[in-house]
Amino acid sequence: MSKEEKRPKQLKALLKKDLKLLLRKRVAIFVFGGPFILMFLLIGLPSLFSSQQTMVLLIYSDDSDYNGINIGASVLDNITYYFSFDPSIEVVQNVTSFSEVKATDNFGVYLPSNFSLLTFTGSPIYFTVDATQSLFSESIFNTIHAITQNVIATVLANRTLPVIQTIEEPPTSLPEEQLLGPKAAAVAMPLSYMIFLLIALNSGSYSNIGFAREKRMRTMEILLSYTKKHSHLVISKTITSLVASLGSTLSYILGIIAATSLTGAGTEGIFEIFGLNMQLLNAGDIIIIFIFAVTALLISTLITMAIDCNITREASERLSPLLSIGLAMFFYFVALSNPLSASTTLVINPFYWCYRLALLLISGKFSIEIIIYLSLIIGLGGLLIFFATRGIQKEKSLYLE
Amino acid sequence: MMSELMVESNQLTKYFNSLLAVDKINLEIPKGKIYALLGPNGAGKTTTIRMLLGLLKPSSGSVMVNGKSVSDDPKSIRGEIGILPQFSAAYYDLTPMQNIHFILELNNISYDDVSASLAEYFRTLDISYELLNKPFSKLSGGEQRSISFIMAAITNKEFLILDEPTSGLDIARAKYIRSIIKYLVEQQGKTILLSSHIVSDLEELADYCGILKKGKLIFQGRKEEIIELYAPDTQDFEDAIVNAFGVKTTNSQTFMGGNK
Repeated sequence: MSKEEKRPKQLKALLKKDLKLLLRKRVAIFVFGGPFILMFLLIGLPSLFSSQQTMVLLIYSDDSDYNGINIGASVLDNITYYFSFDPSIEVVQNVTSFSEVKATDNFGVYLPSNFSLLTFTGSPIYFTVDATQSLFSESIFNTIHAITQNVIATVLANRTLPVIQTIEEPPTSLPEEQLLGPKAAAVAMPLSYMIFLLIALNSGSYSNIGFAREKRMRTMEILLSYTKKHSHLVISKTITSLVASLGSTLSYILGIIAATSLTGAGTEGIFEIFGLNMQLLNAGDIIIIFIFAVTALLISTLITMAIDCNITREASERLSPLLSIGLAMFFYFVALSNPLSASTTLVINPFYWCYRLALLLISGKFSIEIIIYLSLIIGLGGLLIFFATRGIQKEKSLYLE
Repeated sequence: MMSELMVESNQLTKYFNSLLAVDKINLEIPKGKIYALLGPNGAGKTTTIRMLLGLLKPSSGSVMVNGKSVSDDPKSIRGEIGILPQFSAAYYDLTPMQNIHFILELNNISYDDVSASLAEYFRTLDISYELLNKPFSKLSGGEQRSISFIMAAITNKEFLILDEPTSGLDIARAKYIRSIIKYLVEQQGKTILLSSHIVSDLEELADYCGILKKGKLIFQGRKEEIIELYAPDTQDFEDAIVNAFGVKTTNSQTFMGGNK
């Protein structure tokens, strides 16, 4: 058997062993079952008690017509129509008096008796929403306010009751969005979340399958003695780590799907969970998103491994997840604040390189920026593999425990 | 010293920062023999073994293993030496059988080719089928050591390095391991570098001895020579080793003045 034939077999043997260690009961439950159980408990369990009750919105108009036009009634018609498409809001209930609105814990909208008059005279109008200060109720308030404003504007312009209709308006474009386009805008937040999630889920599982564990189990000597090409050790661990992380992510998604199915709301799948707008994106865009999310994950694994192979076991077990998650968190929060802008604070963050490159490719803006980020990713990947392999070959991997 | 050598080192030296671990040793291990590398704790045995395996790069000097220069090209020797490390060589979460399969696959050996030998090892060392399918962590220390020994022996390498092969074994298993080692050398012509503190192992097995003390190879030769040199009066192998290590075997060195 020649060496060339033997080497891939060694990689296969290493990979088989690493996957077996990953799939052993204790680790598999933690890596593949953990995210499912966690999401199921976090989302599904509370929903058993609360989310099946959809929110009730009470509306009441005391308004009488003015010049033959009753704007209050039109506003209520529009509100009823609007929320009839929202599964989280139960059909709007008309009540017969304001005291009914006050007597309930439900959200309520009250329009005063002189609403039409005030509208035509241009006086300030108060319509009451009995809402808490939560973001959710605030958003309902804003919606109702917007509906009311639209109705009033239409009535004042036409002096007739408006026809109820659904209007879809494109979101206001930011300068960055105008540069990168709506597709990149649609991908930005989901992609940054996906990268953060993959890395966060990866860091927990790596300690169970990485080199730190081989050092702890004192199996490094055997691995190093029998393996012809030490880079195969790094490749095998990297592939196993990717499998673990993707498995964890799948488990996380399944957990959400299972949990939301309990609520009756039902999540349609991976794209909805990550907030991907499938009407805007095509298969090629999804492939790019997947490739760069996995690339970010790969870099995270290689960072962990390079640290793992070059410093003491105890230090690496603490430092590598810290560094990986730290970089991912920093990237995520900066990206959240300004998702489409080129960030100088993230310029040395490899996860940002993956993110930015994906956005540029999806937007079709082929520029020097693409070549720079691509070179940086490839260069860093090669460097990390080199450091990991070199670390293994040095006495550090045997003595620095 | 010897005709055909499996290992030949020339002024082999290893520093860890300023600490001199191995000091210019000229090791000569003949083919087809058992060579016992002895020395008190911290003498440099493990460092020497790791340099032979190509895992540590010598600070200076050179070493040839089976005609290949390990110091110049550590890759050349990888996979050529069977190894039983001082500590466990197996994955505790896998079963002994899974561990054995892993070592076989890593060395590109078909299970079918060695199944008969394996069965013989299991029979000799009293390893039952049930035991082979338990997690390695559930095995007793002696059983773990026996499996680790089998994992080294089954690789069918010309050169085996066995670090404390009978440590933690009961009397019967230790005896059978010794008989297997003798069989591997006498019937299969293998070369074995043995590191052990168990005198009965050394007495029964070693053809040649090398004694390391504070990184220096202070003696290298046949077993009989060490007795003549270090214990001419008592002709006792254990005395010879203790004397070579530099510990005087007077009554004052024995516990409470009792018998040695």
